[in-house]
Amino acid sequence: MKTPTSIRHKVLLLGLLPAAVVTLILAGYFTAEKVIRLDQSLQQRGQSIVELLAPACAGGLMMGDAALLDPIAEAAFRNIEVVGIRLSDSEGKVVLNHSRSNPLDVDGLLDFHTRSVVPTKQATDFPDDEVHRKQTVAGEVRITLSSEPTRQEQMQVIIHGLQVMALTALITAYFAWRLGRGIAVPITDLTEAVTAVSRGNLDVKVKHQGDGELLRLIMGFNTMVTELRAANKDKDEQVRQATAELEATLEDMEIKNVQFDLARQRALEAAQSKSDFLANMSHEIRTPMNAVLGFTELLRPTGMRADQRTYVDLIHTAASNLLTIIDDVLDFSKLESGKVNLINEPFVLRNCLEEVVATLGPAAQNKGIELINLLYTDVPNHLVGSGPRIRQVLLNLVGNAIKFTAAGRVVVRTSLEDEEDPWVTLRFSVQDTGIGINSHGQKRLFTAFTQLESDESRSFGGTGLGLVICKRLVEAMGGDIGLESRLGEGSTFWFTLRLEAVERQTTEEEPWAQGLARRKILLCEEQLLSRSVVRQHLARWQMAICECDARERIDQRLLACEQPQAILMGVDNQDIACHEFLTDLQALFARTGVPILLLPSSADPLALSSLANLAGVAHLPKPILSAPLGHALRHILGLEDYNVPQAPEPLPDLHGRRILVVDDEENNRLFLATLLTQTGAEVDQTASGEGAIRACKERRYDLVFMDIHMPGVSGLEASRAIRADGQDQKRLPIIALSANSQSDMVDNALAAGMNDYLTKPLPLPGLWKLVKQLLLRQPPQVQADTGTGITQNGSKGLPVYRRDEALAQTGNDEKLASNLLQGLKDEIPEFIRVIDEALAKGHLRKGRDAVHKLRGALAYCAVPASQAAALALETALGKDHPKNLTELNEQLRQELQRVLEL
Amino acid sequence: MPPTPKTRGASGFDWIRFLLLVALLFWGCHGHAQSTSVAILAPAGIAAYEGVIDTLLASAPGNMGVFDSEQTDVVKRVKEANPDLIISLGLAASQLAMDRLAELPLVVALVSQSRYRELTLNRQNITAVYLEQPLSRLLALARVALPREEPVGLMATDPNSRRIIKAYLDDQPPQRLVFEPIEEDQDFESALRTLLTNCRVLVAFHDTNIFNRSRLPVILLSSYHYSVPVIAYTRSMVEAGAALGLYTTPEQFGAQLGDLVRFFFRSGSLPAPAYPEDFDIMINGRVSRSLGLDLPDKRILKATLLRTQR
Repeated sequence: MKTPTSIRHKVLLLGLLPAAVVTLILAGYFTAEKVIRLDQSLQQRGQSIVELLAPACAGGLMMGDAALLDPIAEAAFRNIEVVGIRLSDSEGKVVLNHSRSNPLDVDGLLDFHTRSVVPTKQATDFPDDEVHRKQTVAGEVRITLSSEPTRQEQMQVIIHGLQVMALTALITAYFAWRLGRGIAVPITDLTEAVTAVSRGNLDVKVKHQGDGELLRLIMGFNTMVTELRAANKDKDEQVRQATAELEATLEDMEIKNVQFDLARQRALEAAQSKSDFLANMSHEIRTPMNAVLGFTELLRPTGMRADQRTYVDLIHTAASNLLTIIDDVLDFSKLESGKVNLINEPFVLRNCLEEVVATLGPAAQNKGIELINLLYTDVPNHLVGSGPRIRQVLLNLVGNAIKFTAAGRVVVRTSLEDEEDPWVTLRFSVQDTGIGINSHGQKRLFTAFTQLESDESRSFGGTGLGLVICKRLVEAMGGDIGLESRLGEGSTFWFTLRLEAVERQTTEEEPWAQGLARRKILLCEEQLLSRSVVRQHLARWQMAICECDARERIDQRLLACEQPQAILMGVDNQDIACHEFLTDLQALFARTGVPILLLPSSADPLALSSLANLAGVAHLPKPILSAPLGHALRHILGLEDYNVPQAPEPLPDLHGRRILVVDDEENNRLFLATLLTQTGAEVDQTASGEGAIRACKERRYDLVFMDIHMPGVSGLEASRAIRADGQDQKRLPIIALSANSQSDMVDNALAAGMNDYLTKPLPLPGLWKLVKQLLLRQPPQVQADTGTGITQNGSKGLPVYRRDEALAQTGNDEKLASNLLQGLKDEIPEFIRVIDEALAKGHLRKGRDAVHKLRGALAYCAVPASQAAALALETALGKDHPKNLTELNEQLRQELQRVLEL
Repeated sequence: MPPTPKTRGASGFDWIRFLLLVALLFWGCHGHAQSTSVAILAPAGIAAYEGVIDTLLASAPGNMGVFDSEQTDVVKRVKEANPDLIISLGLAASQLAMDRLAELPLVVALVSQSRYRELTLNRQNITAVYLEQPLSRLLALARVALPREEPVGLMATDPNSRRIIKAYLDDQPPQRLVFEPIEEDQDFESALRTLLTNCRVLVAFHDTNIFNRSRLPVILLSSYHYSVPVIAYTRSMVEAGAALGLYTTPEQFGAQLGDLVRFFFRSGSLPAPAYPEDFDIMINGRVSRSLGLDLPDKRILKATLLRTQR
């Protein structure tokens, strides 16, 4: 049944249905009851008739006299329902049998019968004298009744019942209709009016009808609509006024916006001009500085007088300082304009810290300051972050500490402040025993171009940008920076960073610790901090350590230590200059036979020369670094030969190689060509990109150094052209040169097909290392490619795998390199899946994180083509409107597939 | 303890008389060791007997004790009462007295003559007041009330009743009689029809085998059918449909027993058994009118009967 939706129907149904149901039930009930009662009545009547007849017939039956019974029968037949009567005596003989002719309904006949018993009567007045006998049965009385009259009456009852039901239904329907009408019509009118109001028509008015609550509702609605109309009118007026005011304000604002736009434009142009100026100036200054530094490097090994050597050193120092100042100004500018791109990559914290100590160690030693690197054992070593920037900050802070400390020590501490897997908060602090800073100076310290005002501090020089650069860098990395200092008591500069700790799969991070486990060492160091640093290293290498905090107690400790295999002893310059000390040292070795590794606080060759001829005694100047300490221990324990790396690394032998140098700056070109000529290589030069393309067409080269910024065809364009010129050119190693070290420049260079990138001024160790990687594992171009070491290039001309680089990264450990590569290959399918899924679902950030993680894995496996493809994709994902994601992802997938095929 | 005073209850108040009777019975049951002249032995709770007892108590001299014949220790109490005379009412009480109180003079009342003969086999010191009316009286009533209705029909199964009727027939009665002796195994209705066919009046002579609650309706219906008026010997029969009847009321029995008691105490002996002396006549007006009988007033009938019986 379709549910009625209108209220009229509902009211009608509400009024009609219950009454109809009740009527139906009651009428049905009473009709049925009446019908049943008629049936019962018929039964009762029949039985009553027969029971009334029985005693009346007793006498006649007993007499057997039908004449006595006829009147009784006739009386019975007066009842129209009686159609037959049969009387029989006690012997069953029928005395009388009458029936109506043509009974109405043969099927509806009912028989009733009973015995006719002669009633007893008391015969005596006194009870004792009576003989009781059973009742005398006179006979049987049987009558037949017709149910037809009863049926007719029942039918009448049913018909009347139906008539009553119909009438009741009609009356109920009428009243329901009246009621429904009285309720539904006003409500319908009201509903229509509400609908009209909801559509915005406030001119409706509902006619007053009905009474009671409905009438009040209608009146209330009409009042409400009237008030709404008035309120709307007021509101419209207010809106008109407000709109007019707003329009006036908007006009003003538009004018101001235009003015702001112009001002912004001017500011942006000014900022851009400044950035361009700085970049240009940086390039213009760096380029000649590169030449100055390069040629001073060339001059140094040549024969000079002492004063000339001094002048060359001074020139080199001045140029280096100027370059540092330029770097600071550039960094500051980049930080000011927010152009610093911090690349978060996996890095090894210990290596980062030891690089700082190694870089500034000589400076500290020159001043007689002890430089201590204290890395707490709970600090994770493998982290994801901007390692180079952290190093830069530490170099700045440690450099300042050394600068402003006349004597004592500088301690670099790295501790774990907080840990929330996988994130850790590290605290880096640089504590010195220098001049200290007063409170006034502390407030101004991190302000640009501000230096301490005292005469003493001014003598140290500097641009005043170092600390503000540190502050900006730390803040850009999401950390905090600060200092604690007291004038005359030294300072502690600290900064905190929140970094992600990663697990490292490889087991051999420190090959110099091989064979040291469980070796017993007696550590004798009076300086608590130095002893802690050495102890950390020894404990990490699982060596058994006995400690001694005073040399006077060494014999006692030797006994207690039970035959250590080596003695580590911290000494200062005064000690090693003392003859008695040296004698005691020899005697100790002679007595115990235990080799001794001295840890002098200075690397002064003159001071250390006295240790050269001591038997059983080796030395390793502080600051203590893990690799040198490991190698030194292995040496004194007889596990390896100990080479003191004093001499500079010899130049690679590039005889038979042909190298092309492309740079529009003559000095730079000349410097690099001269440098390369010293290796025995055949060096060609050209000053333009077009010249490079032409030269590569005409001759086969083993290596190309390509400056990026050149007028006309840039280095990037020239590289692309060279790569496009045949399969051989795809394998030609091309190194990008630029004074610009911005990451996007590096990306562009690699994306253009260049193999690597060097920043001017060229770092010679890095230059030769790169040359060796690219050339010495690969046969010269004039020879056939034996295919050793360099796997075929990827799509952009980069090699798929650089075995030599892989070996170099693992310290020539082939097994480790193979394991790393295999580990990468195992992870590649999952990387591909995650990246594909992220890009398919549009989760760009997730995709970028996955690519970044992939880059971390690639970084240790020397797979340049994949690294370049991953870098390109990660860069694209980092943009606000990434483009060509599909192509870049496909390219990455292809490179990774090539890795899998290795 | 003094003897139980004679109670003179307010006649007409049945409850008071009942309570007094109960009190007397309880007193008798608790076996008061009093000297009782006459012990009345009867089943309690029967209105007809109570009427007899009340009248007897009111009219007879001496201490009267009423004992419930249905109580288990009634014999002991009667003996303890040490009566001079025992009057037993009804067959059961009389049977009890005969069996258990044989040594005392006994008056058997309200027992039929035939029952009495059965009870008193060679017993001495006993007499009776019969229950039934004498045949002569009943026949006299028939002659007086319905002088033109002859013959008079009689029927009996009881041997004693038969003997009495035969004796009466042998004595040449003043009216024509038709006697239908009915055997036990005989078809009663058929015999009845035969008798009714042959007589004009049916006189019911005491025979409980015939005149009982089962057969009485048959007799009355049949006699009505044959237009034969029935002269009954009990009030109940008249009320049931007999045309008229002659019977002795309980009070009349009581008075007669009272006379007998006086005779006993006066003479020291018991009189011979006798029929009830006094009687009442009752006419069933509906039946008599239905039968077309022209009956005189019952008082006239009684007076005429008394005259004829003197």
